[in-house]
Amino acid sequence: MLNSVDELIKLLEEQDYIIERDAAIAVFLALKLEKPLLIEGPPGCGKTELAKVIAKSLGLELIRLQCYEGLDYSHALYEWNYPKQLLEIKLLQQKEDEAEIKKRIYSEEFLIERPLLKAIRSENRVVLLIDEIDRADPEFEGFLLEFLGEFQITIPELGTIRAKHKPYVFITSNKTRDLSDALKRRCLYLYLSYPTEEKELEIVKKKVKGVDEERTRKAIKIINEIRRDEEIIHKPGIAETIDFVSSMSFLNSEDEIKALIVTLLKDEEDVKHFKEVIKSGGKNSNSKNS
Amino acid sequence: MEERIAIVKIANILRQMGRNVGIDETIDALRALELIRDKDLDTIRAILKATLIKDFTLLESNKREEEKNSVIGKITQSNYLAAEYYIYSPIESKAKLPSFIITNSDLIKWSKIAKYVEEITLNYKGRRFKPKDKGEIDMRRTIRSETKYSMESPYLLKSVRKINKSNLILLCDVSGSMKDFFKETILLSFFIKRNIPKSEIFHFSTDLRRVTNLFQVTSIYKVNVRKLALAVSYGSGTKIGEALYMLRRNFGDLIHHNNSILIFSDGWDLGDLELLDREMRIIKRRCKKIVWMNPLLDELHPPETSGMKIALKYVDLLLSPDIKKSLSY
Repeated sequence: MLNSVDELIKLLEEQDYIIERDAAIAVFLALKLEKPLLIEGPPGCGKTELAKVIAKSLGLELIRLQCYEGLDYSHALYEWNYPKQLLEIKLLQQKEDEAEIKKRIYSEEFLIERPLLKAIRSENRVVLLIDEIDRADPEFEGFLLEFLGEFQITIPELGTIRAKHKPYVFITSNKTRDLSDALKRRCLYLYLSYPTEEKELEIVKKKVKGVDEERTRKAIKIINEIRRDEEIIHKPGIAETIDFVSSMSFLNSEDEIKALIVTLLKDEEDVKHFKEVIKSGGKNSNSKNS
Repeated sequence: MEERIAIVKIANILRQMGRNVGIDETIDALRALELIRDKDLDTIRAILKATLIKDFTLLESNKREEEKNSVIGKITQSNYLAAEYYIYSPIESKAKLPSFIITNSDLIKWSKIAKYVEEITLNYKGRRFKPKDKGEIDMRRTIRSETKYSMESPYLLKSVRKINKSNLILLCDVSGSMKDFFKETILLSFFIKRNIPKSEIFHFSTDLRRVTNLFQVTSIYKVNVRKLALAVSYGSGTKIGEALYMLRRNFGDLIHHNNSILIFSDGWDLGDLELLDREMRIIKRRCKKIVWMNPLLDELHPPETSGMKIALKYVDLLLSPDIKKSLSY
C-alpha cells in the first residue's frame, strides 16, 4: 500500500503518467481516506486517464460507468432479468404457491449486475470510474448519494448491500453544469488543468518513442500558443498534442501545418481563425508571441 | 494543535463567504493533515483545495497574477485581472442585504416575461418538416404518397417546419447600479429556471458566479437571498466584458450554436470597452442568439451608455421588462 505522495508520483510515472504534486496529493488523500475523488477540468487534460492509470498501477480491476443524458438506475445499478423471471414463473406455477414463487424470482439469480453493483459486490477492491457525470441528469446525482456516502446500495426486494471492500471512486466532470453540493460534500476535489510546457514535453517523450526533442519542444510551444489564443474555443488537449507529435515523425515540414489543423483544431470556426492568423504571418492581436 | 485550529478557522471563513463547507469536510481536512508528513505551505494549500474549497473558479483566481502578463494583459490597458480585488467583508455584505417585498402582481408580471423570453429565444424553426393539416403544400410528400395510389389521389399533403428547442444562459448584473433591481433579478432568474429547467443562471459584478443551484427551489420564497448576495464579489464596479470573458473561459462548453444568452443589465460598464467588444463578437459567433434586457430602457433612458452602444452591435434583441415597450426597440 502507498505510504507517501512521492511513492504515488513514482508509481504513476512508471505507467507513463506525469502528475503535478498538487494533484498527486489529492489522489493520495482520496486513496488513503477511501473517499471518492471528483476531478474537474477542461476536456483532454487526462482526467479519465488518471483513473485508468491508478487502476493499472495498483493492479486493480477498473469498472467504468459512462454517464449520458437519461442514464437511470437500471443501467447504472441493477436490473431484474424479466424474461428469465417469466420463464421461471411458468415453470413453477403448478408446483409452488404464490409466495414461494415471489421469493424465488426476486433472488440474486435473477439480478443483472450493472457497474455500481458490480463494484460493491466485487470480492477484491476495484477502481470505479464514473465518467462525465455532468452529462447525466441531476436526478441521477441524487441517486448516487447513498452509494458515495455509505458505499451501500438498497434494493427494495433484497435489502441493503454493503461494499465488501470500499472501491476507489473517481468521478470526472467537464463542468458543463454545476454539480450539487451534496455530491461535492461526499467527495474530495481535484481541478486538473493543462500541464506546463516542461511537463507536457515529459509526457510526450514518455508516450511517443524516438521523438526529436527540439522539434517537439517547438510543437508544444505552438500548441500552448493556440491554447492561449482567446479566439479559439476548443483548446487542444494532451491527446491532441501526442497525435500531432506522432504525425510529425512521418511528415515533412511543409505538411506540418496541415497536420496541425487536422490533429489539433476540431471546430470549423477555430480552423477559420487559425488560417487567418497563418495568412497574416502569425500576427494575432490576441496571442502573446504568435 | 495550531494547525488544527487554523483549519477550523479557514472552514469558518469559507462558510461566512457563503461557501458550503460542512463538518464532514472539516474532518476530512484534519484527517488529511495527519496523513501527510511534509507540511510545507504548498502541501497545505493542496490539502485545502482538495478537501475544503472544491470550487475551480476560486482555485483559478490564484492564476490571475500569472495571466496578467499573458494574452489578455496585452489587449487591455486596465489591470482587471489583478489579484487584489476590493471585496466587501462578509459582515459588510450582510449589512448591505437588500430588503424587498414580492407581491402577487410581481409574480404574474415576471412569470409572463420569462415565458415571453422563452418564446423568442428558445423555439426556432428548424430545417426539417413535419406533416400538419394547416401548413404549406408539401409537393415532395404529396408526390411520394401519390405514387402508392397510381398518381390518382386527390389529396395535397401539407407540412410545417419542425420547431427546434434551444437552451438559455442568463447573465444578471448585480452591481451597484443595478441595486434597485435586485428583486427583479431574483424574479427573472427564478422564473427562467422554472420555465426552462436546463437553463444556467450566472450573476456578475466584478466577478462572475454560477448560481443555478440557488434557483433550483420550488418557491420564490425559498431562494436563499443571503447566499445569493454573498455569491458575487463587488468592489471595483461592473465589468461586463470581463464577466463574458470569465463565462467563456470557465464555462466555454456552454456557449454553442444551440444556446441563447440573455443579459439582464443596465449597460453601465466600468471595465475595458475593447474587451467587451471582443467578447461580444466571439460569443455572438458561437451562440444562437444574444438578447439584452435593460430594466432602465424607456423613452427617457435610450440605450446610450458606452457599454450598451458597443453591445448593441452584436445584440439580436433589445428588451425592456415592459414587454409592450420592448417591441418598439
